[in-house]
Amino acid sequence: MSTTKDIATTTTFERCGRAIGVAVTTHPKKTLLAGLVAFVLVAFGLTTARFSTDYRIFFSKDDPGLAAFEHLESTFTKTDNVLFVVKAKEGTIFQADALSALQELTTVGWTLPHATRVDSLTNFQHPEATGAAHDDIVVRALVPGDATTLDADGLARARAAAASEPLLAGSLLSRDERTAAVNVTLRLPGKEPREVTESADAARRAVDAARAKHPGLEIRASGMAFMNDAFMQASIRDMGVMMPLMVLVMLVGMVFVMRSKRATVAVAAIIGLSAAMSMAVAGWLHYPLTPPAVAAPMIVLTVAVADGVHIVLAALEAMREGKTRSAAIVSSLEKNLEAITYTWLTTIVGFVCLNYSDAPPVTHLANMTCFGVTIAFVYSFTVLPALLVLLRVTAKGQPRREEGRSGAMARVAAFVVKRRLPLLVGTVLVTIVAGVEASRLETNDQFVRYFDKSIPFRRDVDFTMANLSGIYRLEYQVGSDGASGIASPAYLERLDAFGGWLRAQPEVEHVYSIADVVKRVNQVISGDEPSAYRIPTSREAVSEALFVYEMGLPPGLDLTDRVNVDRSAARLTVTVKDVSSKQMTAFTARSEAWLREHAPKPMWAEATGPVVIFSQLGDRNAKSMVQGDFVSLALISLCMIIVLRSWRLGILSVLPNVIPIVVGYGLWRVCVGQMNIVASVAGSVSLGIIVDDTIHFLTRYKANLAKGLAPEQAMTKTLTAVGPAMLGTSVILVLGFGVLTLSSFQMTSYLGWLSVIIVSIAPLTDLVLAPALVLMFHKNPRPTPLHSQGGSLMKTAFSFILGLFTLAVTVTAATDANARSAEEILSAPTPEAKGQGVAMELAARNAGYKDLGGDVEMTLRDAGGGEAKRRFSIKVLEKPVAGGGDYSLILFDAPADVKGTAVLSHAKIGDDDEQWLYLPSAHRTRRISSSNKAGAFAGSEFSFEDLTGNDGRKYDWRLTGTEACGSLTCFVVEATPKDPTSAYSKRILRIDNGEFRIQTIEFFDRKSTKLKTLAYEGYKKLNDRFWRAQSWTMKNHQSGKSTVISFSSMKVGNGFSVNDFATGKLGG
Amino acid sequence: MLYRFVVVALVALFGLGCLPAVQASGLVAADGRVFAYDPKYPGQNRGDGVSLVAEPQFDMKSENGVHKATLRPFYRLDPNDEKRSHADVRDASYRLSTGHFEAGLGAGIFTWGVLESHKPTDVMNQTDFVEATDGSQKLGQPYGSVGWVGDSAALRLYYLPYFRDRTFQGVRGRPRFSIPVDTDSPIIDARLRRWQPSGAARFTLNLGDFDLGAGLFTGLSREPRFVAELTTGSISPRYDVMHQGSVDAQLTLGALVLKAEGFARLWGDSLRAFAGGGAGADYTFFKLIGEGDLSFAAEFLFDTRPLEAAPTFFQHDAFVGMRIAANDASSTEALAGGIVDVVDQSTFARAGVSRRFGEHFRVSVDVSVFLGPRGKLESSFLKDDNAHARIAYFF
Repeated sequence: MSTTKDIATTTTFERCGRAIGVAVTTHPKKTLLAGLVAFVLVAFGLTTARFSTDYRIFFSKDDPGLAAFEHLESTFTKTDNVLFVVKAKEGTIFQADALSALQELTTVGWTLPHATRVDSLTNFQHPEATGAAHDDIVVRALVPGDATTLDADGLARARAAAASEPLLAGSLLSRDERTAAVNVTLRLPGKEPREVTESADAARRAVDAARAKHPGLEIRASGMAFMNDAFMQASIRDMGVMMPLMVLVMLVGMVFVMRSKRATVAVAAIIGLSAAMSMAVAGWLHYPLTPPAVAAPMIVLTVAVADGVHIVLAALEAMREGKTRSAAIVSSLEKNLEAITYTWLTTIVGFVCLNYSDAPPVTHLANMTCFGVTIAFVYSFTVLPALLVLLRVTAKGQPRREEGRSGAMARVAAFVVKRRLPLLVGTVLVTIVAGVEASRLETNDQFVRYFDKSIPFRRDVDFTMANLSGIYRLEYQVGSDGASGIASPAYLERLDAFGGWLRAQPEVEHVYSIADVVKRVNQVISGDEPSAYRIPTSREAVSEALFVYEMGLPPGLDLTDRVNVDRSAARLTVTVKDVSSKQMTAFTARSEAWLREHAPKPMWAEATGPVVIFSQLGDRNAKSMVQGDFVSLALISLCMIIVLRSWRLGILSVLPNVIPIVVGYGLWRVCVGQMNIVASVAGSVSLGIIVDDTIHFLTRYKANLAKGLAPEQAMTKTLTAVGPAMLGTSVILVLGFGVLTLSSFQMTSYLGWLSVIIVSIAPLTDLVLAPALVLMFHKNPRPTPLHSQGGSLMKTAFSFILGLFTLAVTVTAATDANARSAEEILSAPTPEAKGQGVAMELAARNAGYKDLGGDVEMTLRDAGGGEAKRRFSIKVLEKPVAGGGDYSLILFDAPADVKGTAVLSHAKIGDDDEQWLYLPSAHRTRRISSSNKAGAFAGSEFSFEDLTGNDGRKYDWRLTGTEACGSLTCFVVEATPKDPTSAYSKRILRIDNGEFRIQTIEFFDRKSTKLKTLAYEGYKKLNDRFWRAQSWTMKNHQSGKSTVISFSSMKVGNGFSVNDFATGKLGG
Repeated sequence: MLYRFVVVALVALFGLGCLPAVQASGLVAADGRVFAYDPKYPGQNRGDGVSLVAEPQFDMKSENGVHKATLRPFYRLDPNDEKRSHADVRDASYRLSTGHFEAGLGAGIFTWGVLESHKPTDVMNQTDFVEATDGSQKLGQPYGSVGWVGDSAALRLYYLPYFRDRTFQGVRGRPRFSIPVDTDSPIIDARLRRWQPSGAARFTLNLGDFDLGAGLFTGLSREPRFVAELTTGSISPRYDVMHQGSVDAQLTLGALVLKAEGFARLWGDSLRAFAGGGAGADYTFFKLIGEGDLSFAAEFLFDTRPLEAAPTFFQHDAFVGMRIAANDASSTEALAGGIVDVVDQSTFARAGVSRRFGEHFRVSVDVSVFLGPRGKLESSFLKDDNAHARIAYFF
């Protein structure tokens, strides 16, 4: 149904629509050709589009959780793996057939592409005491030699050996001894998406071969490699199953609605082209294709079909009224351009706001859809009319009469007009209940559940979880007080106590750390006494145990996956049961709290691992999407106000669109109870789409009012005219999103379900609530003076805000993990590594202060002795965003003419900082360019770079020597900036080797001449931990000028929050 | 006159400044002006001479910064023009800010928009036209506000209960329109006259290199149109209702900054629709001379308002300007710029320098030139070319 202007004067839109229509209908072939050429150009992107095969794509580059996890992986080993699971159909796994299958899989494991380590039941490194006096220790595989040759005795020995290993049960061996596993650790270079597929395919072949050879065994393969591979499978399956279905649904729907096969062909052509182009744009933008992203072309099909149908219907109607084909098409474009432009705009806004999401696949989905919908919009007004002309589309039948064809609608209208108050009250109540429910929604991102059972990976994982153990692993990097610190009995005792506590938790299935290895070896050394299964009491004994154990380990099975290179930290792996994200978050918080309570500070560790970071991402994403929803709501309201040229109707119009979303989420909470990363964006997606109906409804209502009808009459007329069309488009949308519910990927299917729910509720609120609201609050069709609107405005605003806040989903803050560095400095092999060591230690010692505040007096001295003073206060927030820099806020107090001037800086790593300036005289905050790193700060000898460029990650480091500096001994370290735009060729720092305090920094300009020296003096220890210099003197050797910065009342840990550094707070 | 000035200054300084928690700051200044030509209109004074300005500021702040109060009166004494001698309360407000929520009550100045030469979207405050004919000086606007401030976005809603009239030069003042504006009998097109409330909402967002702003305003237009009063031979300002939505955006790409802002407005009883806005860019050469930066700015302004609407100077105007910031201990700055109507070439240009002396004084000198054809609104100011010097004492 199109919106027609009933006023004689033509609008700009109508003139534009007419001009376009005339041009296109006179040159249909050229238009079609241009459209096809554009399509071909864009479609080249399809050749570079690639499927994603890495779960890490769900995280943005600066995701704090992923950074912490990758740090752990780089310290120990990568956690990408293939897990072969072997189950004996009868009896235990300790039979020759099963053990030999495990041995074969172990051997095959080493041959998998990118395999770096294979752990299995059979090659499990089992320490044994040999010799008469049990004084000789041998470490060997649990099943040495060929398993097929084992007799009953040998099998019993192997079973006994496995039983003596506490680490096996619940990990590589199931507790009922019927299932065992081979774990192949992969180190994927991460260059080609094929890498994962190669490893997974090789593993699949190995499984097939093993199955053929051992029919008595149930053999499966799972692991992260298969999960990564499953992303691609799910994408391909979704496209293969859903796309044809979607096309079918749309074709049938269009034939039914338009009753013209040729017109259906034309519309199908343009939406097909748009959908294909939305896919192709992924190639151009280097978006990897993920299951959410491949939903984009399907959403484009659904959303874009409405544009084409509106245009065709209006053209057919005009032909029935006797116009020629071209004239009918021109008049259709003329009538439809305005409404379709607005509906396109609101749809775009809804999707653009998805860029608030923290998960890149969601932003990819959004941007691909935006592009496709825009193409569909453009093609609907160019290629579509050209096709209608070329295909000689004709209309059959008589012109339709608007009156009398919607008796049901007329009854609805009468009901709404009569019972508007109870309707409103009822809706408000339902919305409040739904809002409360919606606010209780929890995100649950258990990544295995993303895949449904049609994907083999899910079945294999379910099998693994049912028969072997959980597959969710948490990792802790537990530090000690220095290099080789893990050999300290006190440390191991604590680590073991932590392990013991963890094992007692209901969520935990298995715990593995170096403490368990040490205990086991100690027991073996002591003649397999059960009482000797404990940590030795002396450091020497621990070292000996570790030494003995490691000597016996074959290459590739060493301890590097348990302890780091300098032995200052150990990794503790916890396998947990199938628990929800919320339970997981609670569990990790509990475990971290236990460590803080029972262990010394260096041992404090945070849990990480794919399951943890997915939980964190889910929470954070839900939080940022609330922001996104807020923005899209604001922008769409703005659009509506402009469209309706009435701010009042504009704001009113938003309510009928917010309520379906609130109610939809409320229903979802009642029926399903949890959501995931993509489901949390359904609100924003739907808002932009369902608002279209409201636009059609209210523009028509306004037009009817303008004809002089009374509000009630106008309402009845509008409902009967627009109602059927609104229902029709809703049916198409429900069908379209309904197809998404068939996705094998939970994120996509949840998005589909939620959208279906919201889109089905929307016509109810549009047909019932919107009329009631408009009649209540928009009685007077003429613009009324503001003062008489005060009361109802407040009511509207209140319910509007209420509706908005019910959208909010409560979330917890993500935690940031800091790198802990070791005193490996002078033992490092190269000056670069030593320098890096100093830098890391410096960073580690300075890190964790959270925030700093103080008052500063800055004295500028010129060569002649003249002085000028500046006074300002400074606040610094330590790295609020992982991978980013500090936030700082400087507020000037003197000289008096700049009092109140504020400079806010959000430092970035590897990119220009963001800086804002607030000038009190201009009453406004504005962004200032921060590419001026070399520029002087407030006329001083400090440049912006000197103040903000102190992050160690911005430099390459080299230790050039050690020398006396005053009464101290200093490392002399050279720092070369990585940033080519830095004003300096290098900095030379002198840092004392005791407390790691920077004493001086020499700055060398690009010509490598010494430019400035900065001396730090008056070091004070704040909070018993952080050394901070209270006086900084910068001397410029070339100009003879100097600047002294001296702090007073410097304090760390003031409890500043990111919000204190929000641009919106400047000048407030 | 001088008596009133001294009383305001002394009471302000010693009365408020003596309260223990109050921080006093602000400025007093002497402004000297010399005009190049004799006045053009009957009754106008030559205008050469010195006027005095006082703008003290008093701030109170709670320990944790949650509660803040500010008082900033303004007074100018000009012996040449009784209308240019005027007082205003630029800021008298209480602000509450806790976490993400904030609220404010009182009077204050709020600036919207990003362009340098003129901000078409800046509509909340009335212009203090006698202070600056380019519209850069504003009168304090009574308001009540609530706001939500996120980490990178903020939304504020304003209720503006009272309307302030624009100030205009008196018969003797310079520069003024050819017919003096009768500020004593404004026509306000609203039932409650000056008490007609207005409402506004402002949303700001930082997205990477983008800074975006959007504003909604509904109420009385701060821009007057002029109605001839045949009996008195003067013109009266007339203020109409308007509703406006605006957006402004700035993209910062290193030394290059791109800016744009625009509004769509429904104006007057008939809700005539028109739009306006502008776009521009500035580019800075950092450290061009020693520590000194040189920036260039170019902007284009347009406005599609119909003839019967409140007139504006900036219907199709281009602005070019440059600025040198020496970035030295005394914050020496030089500015030069001109704004030209691309249709009728009427031009306003200004160049000036300013520098701090010691800790408390700032001296600035600038020259303003008006050029162009006769018969336009802007051409009222032809022959009003002047040089201006200011010595300001900041405390």
